[in-house]
Amino acid sequence: MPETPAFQFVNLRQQHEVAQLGMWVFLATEVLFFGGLILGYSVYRFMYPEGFAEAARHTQIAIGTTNTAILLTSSFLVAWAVSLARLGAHRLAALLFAAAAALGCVFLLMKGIEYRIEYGEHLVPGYFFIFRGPNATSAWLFFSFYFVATGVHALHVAIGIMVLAVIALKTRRGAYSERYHAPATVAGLYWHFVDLVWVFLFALIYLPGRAS
Amino acid sequence: MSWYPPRALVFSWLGLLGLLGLTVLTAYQPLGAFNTPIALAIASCKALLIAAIFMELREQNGLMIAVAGAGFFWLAIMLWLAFSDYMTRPSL
Repeated sequence: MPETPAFQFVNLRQQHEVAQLGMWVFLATEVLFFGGLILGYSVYRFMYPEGFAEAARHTQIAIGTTNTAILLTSSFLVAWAVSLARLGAHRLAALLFAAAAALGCVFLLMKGIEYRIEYGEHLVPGYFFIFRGPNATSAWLFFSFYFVATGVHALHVAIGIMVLAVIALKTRRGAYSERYHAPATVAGLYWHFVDLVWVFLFALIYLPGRAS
Repeated sequence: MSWYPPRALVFSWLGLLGLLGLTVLTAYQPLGAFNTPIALAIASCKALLIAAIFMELREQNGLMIAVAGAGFFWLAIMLWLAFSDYMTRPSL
């Protein structure tokens, strides 16, 4: 385990800070990546408010809410695991990282079930899409956003699961300590960000049009 | 015992679940034009909790917070400029 910093750093503390800074720069690009999608959604929702409200009522809010709770809980487990990895409590930290990755798998499974339901209800744009009434065109737009945004987000979750699995294994082997824990911290930042994006997607996809 | 989760993490987690319940409940109340702003305000509160506590931004120096905020700052400019166009177009 690298208890000495790489040659370009003064000390491990600086190396750790640079790793975190690098992850935040990457996450800033991710904000703009998802931001472009959200801007497109917002403009079309502004132009077709009734159509978006009606389309959003066709989403599975029970699955969406459960999935949000699952991601929030997995984020909590990761934050706890990172704090334990720093204390040197390797076994429990590894277990918590693995549990968070498992919750990520449950999230993807539920998402798959949700897609299956939407496929059965003919809500997949471009593939036997059927939506009755005057709002069919804007519902098409809504579900295009829905599948692209949740699909890209699911890809992020899948990558995050693999990252957490690797971190769990390395934690189990005692790779991290109070002095050296940058990979665990940075992987945690990525996972929390995936959670943060979902919080906004949840509000934009599942909540509109519920009261009307 | 030191393996207990830090209190701030537990309270944030419970707070996040509470806000999730609140946002689902308010979404079903007929508040007209207020439903969407309330949903987005609650989402922003959740995002702030995640960023400040889970992502440990509250313990970071100014440089880290500035870099973390930069993406959101530019996103805000993008949304602002786009909507200053779409919201001021005369209906044809």
